Amino acid sequence: MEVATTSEMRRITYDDGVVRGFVWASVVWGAIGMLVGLICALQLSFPQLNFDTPWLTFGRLRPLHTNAVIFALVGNMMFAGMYYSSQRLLKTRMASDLLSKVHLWGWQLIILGAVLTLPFGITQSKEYAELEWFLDIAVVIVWVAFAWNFFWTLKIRNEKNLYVSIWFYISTILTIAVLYIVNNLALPVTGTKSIGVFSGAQDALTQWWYGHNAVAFFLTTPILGIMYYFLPKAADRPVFSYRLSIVHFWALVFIYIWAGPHHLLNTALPDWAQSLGMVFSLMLWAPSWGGMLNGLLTLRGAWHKVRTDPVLKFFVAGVTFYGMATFEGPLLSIKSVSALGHYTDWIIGHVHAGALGWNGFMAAGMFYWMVPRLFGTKLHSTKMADWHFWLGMMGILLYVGSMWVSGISQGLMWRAETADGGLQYTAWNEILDTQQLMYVARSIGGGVFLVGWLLMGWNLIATAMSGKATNVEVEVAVIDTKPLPTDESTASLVFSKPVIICFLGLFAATMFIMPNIGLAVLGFVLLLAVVAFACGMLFGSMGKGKHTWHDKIESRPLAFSVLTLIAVVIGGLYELLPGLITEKKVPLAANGEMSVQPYTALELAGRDIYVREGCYVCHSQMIRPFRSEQLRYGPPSRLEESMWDHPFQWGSKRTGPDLARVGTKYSESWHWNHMIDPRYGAKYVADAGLSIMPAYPWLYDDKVEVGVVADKMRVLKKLGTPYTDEQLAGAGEAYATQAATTVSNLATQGETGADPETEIVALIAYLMRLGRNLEPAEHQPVDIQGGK
Amino acid sequence: MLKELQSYVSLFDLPVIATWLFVAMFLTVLIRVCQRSRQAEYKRMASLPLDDGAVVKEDK
Repeated sequence: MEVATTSEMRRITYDDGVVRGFVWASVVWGAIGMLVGLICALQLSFPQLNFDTPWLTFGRLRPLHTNAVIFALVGNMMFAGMYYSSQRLLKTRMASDLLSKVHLWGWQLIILGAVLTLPFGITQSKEYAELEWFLDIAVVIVWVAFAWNFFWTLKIRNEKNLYVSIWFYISTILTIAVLYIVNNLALPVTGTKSIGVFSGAQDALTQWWYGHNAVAFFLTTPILGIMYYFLPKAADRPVFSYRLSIVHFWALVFIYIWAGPHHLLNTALPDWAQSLGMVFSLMLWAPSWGGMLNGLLTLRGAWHKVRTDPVLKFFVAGVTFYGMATFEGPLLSIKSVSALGHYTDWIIGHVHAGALGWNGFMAAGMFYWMVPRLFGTKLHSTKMADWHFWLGMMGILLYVGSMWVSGISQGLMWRAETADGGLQYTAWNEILDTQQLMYVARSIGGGVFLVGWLLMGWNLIATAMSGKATNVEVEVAVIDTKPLPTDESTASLVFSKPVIICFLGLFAATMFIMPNIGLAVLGFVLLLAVVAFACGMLFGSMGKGKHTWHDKIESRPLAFSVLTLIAVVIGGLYELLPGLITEKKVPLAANGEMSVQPYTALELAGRDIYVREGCYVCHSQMIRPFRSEQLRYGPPSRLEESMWDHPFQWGSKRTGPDLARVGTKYSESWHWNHMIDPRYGAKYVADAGLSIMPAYPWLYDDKVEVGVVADKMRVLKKLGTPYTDEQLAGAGEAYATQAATTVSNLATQGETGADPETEIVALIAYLMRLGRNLEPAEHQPVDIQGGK
Repeated sequence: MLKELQSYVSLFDLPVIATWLFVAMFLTVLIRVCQRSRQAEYKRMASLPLDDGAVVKEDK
């Protein structure tokens, strides 16, 4: 490709007002999000802090904490970094001040929306995608405004080549749009309630395709873009290896998207999907560590500055935590390690090493570098920033260390057996009780980190007050970027040799993994040829003065964006398509009935209360095929058992025990007593004397809106749940009949006076239903691991 | 030819060979990344964050 090389000097005034807005939003929302997290952590040690108040219970606050930290702290931080660095790397002001403002204020309104809905139980119950449909629409509108502004800015840029940070930003904007829209596809039932279009295993796969890649493309790629810009600035050195950054980028965006199923290892998800998730997670080690090393090696010759410069301290520690978290992630994705670590506090420790260490420290480093420049002054106190660093470091180590100890010991105690083959720890709270010291340590660690964050807030405010908001006008040399007629078209770049080779490689790899030796050998031979050709191409592009393929696409935003989208979408298609095109079939029981019946009106109402209260935050509904789980909970969960679940409730954490078969374990009156007084109701909960579950007294007074249940059933029918017209027409009557039966059972068991219209009756009916499906006639028993 | 190939390779050999293939590709990329060719072109790109231009005015 040839380009004109005429250059001229141009004056540019950057829009830093929007950057300042995002910085303050991140600092303030971050403090609130972490404070909510601290309250949640303390509730695990002191359940009285739930105050028997609906909007203060752990199940409702925990989603607020995760959403606030992810979308408010990190979201605002990354937007600040993106707006600041993009304008300077593209040598132009953002294309539209109005769109920048729409993005800034629209995003804050969405976060406010989360604050006003999640604690009140308005939730979709899909982790990190809890916001209900009306807020989802707002997110899409604001994201489109942001994307429009960003790509418009790319179009009017004054710098020919796109720097690596811009690539990461492009991947973030495109991928988050795809992930968010697909995972939140839902049909509204009321103004505040919707039903997702996916169900059961399909929903689980879609959710964790989204959930994992929210970590990848919201918490990782934009921050890597920020690392590639701000770390060289702070160290006053160019990035260690630009070529490595090319490999880092493409390998990361291609591989990351496939790794979602590692959140569902050893579940009822088909084995092929689990193995795919595990293999790609292991492959992620290479690009992740390539990126980490590229960041750290940028400091070659400048390590002495780390001693005195708080910005570099935070960046070095942040990048190191990135390396640690991206080592631990693939490790936890190995099936046998996941068998021990999944559902335990180990995962919480892993997540916080990334969130506090990588995101929190990178945010702090960037703010300390940026705010003095945004206000034309010096940092108020370097000493205070140093204090922040050490407090933050102590907080993270205390937090992560305690969660490692707690998580691994939980995993070991859940599976521990006696000499005669029984469970060694039968009472759940016996296990939970041993974790209490670690829970206190975790709260202290989180609290110390929050104190450091508040110190930073004060330091930044004092810095801003000592200066004044500045609008910088710079003069830059601009190279004319008008393409010459000899330039290759976008289409020819997209369908060029390297892309075709990659597709052939993917095709060969697909053949290779097919369960057929002939196809596998053919695929292998093709793979060999592709790898040999690719290696030849890599070294063939070494000639001097010759533009490589990557040089060309670096200056073509459209081609670059299309290729990024293709690289990202492929993994999603491979994982999601098989589930979407497979016909939903309910296995029949020996008596000819469907082995899994759709929920009755009352059970459906109870299920929505379960969702509203965030029960999935602490309870899974997925018994894994391990001997210890079979002993504790019953037979392993089957794929079809959750097929009518919109959304699925497999969960990701077991602060409390699994509930997949709880309906076969306790009576109605046990649940009645447990929900009102989980700790002190000695009559029915003798083995739960130390439960840390909140009480739910409001369920005994609040009444179910029965009319809405029929509407929900109608929407579910549209989505494939086999309700008959008679069931829909008689929903109200069926509700009343089953509620009366539940009340009658309660009375027989000694609990008189229950009101059939109250929420507790519906919830009990739902809990009693769990695990009471019929055995399919042609059921193949699952291989139980860990058998003796 | 396919049958002949199949007679030499069992299903269990393929993943092992594929792993070596992956390692070979990884090493090729690593070597390529570490080579110093085209340094000058990459230097300009790598230095983009450091090129802030000259500050003309700071409005406060």
